[in-house]
Amino acid sequence: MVLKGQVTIAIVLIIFTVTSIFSVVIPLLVLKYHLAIEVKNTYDYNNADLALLSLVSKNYNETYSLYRILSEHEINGFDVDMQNSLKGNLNLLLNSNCFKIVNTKITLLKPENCDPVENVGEIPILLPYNTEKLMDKIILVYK
Amino acid sequence: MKGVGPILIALVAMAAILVAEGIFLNIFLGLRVAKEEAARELNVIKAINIVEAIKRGLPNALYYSFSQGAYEVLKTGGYRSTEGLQMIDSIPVWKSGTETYFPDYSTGITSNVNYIFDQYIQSSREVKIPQGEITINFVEDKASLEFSSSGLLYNESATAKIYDNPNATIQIKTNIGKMFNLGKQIVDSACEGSKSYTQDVLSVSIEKNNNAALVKIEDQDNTFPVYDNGLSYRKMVLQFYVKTCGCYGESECKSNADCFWCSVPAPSIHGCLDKSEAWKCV
Repeated sequence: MVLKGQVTIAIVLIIFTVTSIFSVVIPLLVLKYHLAIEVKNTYDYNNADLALLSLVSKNYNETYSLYRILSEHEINGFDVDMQNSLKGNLNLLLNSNCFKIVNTKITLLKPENCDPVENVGEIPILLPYNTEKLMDKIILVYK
Repeated sequence: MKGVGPILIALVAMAAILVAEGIFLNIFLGLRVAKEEAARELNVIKAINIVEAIKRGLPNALYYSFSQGAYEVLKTGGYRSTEGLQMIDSIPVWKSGTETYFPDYSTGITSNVNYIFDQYIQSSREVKIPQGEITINFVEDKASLEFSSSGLLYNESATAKIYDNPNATIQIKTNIGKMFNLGKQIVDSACEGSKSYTQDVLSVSIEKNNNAALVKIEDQDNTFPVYDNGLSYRKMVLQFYVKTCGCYGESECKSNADCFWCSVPAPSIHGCLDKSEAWKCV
């Protein structure tokens, strides 16, 4: 009888210990991984926005800024030099070679042999005067 | 011991249930709080980024407003409104006979640039750009534009109100001041006969049209993005008519027919002299 009682106490203690450990560890694990994911999403999202803001603040040459290269792409030819300048700056800002820039109508900068889908950011951009619209969006997607 | 076992087990079970409930509550609340915090943080940062993007775009909106506003005013001889003016083919006459009408081009361009910039203000819905005033100073081969407002640029999202200073200043390379000075020079010397008006970066064309001289002064140095039956880069062209006698441009007048307006019966005080003298007005 005494032995049976001791076994019962031992079992109860084990249950108590396991329950206590779980009650502490599980919430910590859940919160840790959950928060880490949330923070990562926030950081990635806004990094794309910030990369675009940095990009449009840079100069292309003495006359043009990259802002004007993007906003005047319909009339400036958007030649290879302009595209290379955008790519070079984005390489530095994103530390990635896989990105694309689109507006609400077309793709301005296409990715090379990859499919950038993970991170998206957008900023409004003011266009040269015309009768249709004076503002558009520039969207950056990168991997 | 026999009676204690089940009670102890029941107590442990109760404690376990309470702990489990605590865990579930903790997880549930933790998830909810973390999500709300992340969403709120995301919205605030996004709102700041949008305000920053508009703020960085304002100098470009000033540039585009100037390009379009100045182009339109120069096309109509330096006037924003041509109502009540003497016109030929929708282009104002700067000199008719002995009367000279020189436009206040700085006021005309400033007024038109403000009008166009206001359309940019109206087009920005997410971020409110306050009403303000653009002042323009033409100095040598530059124009200095300043947008100033007593209001604030702001983005009022559900989670945050972001404010910023909208004031902006830019300098634009342009020869508009020189163009009007040359135009005035042409008008003032319209009766002085043959003369070369070409100035470094400006080209001048004077053609006979409707018994008057159509003067076009073009800035060869700068192009601007302009909408005129389509969007393209264009040079600024100042055009106006001079309806008085004279030999314009570099070629000398060989006969009455080469004189603008003199080929028609001349009024009493205007007409070309005999070819033995320099062709000029009397």
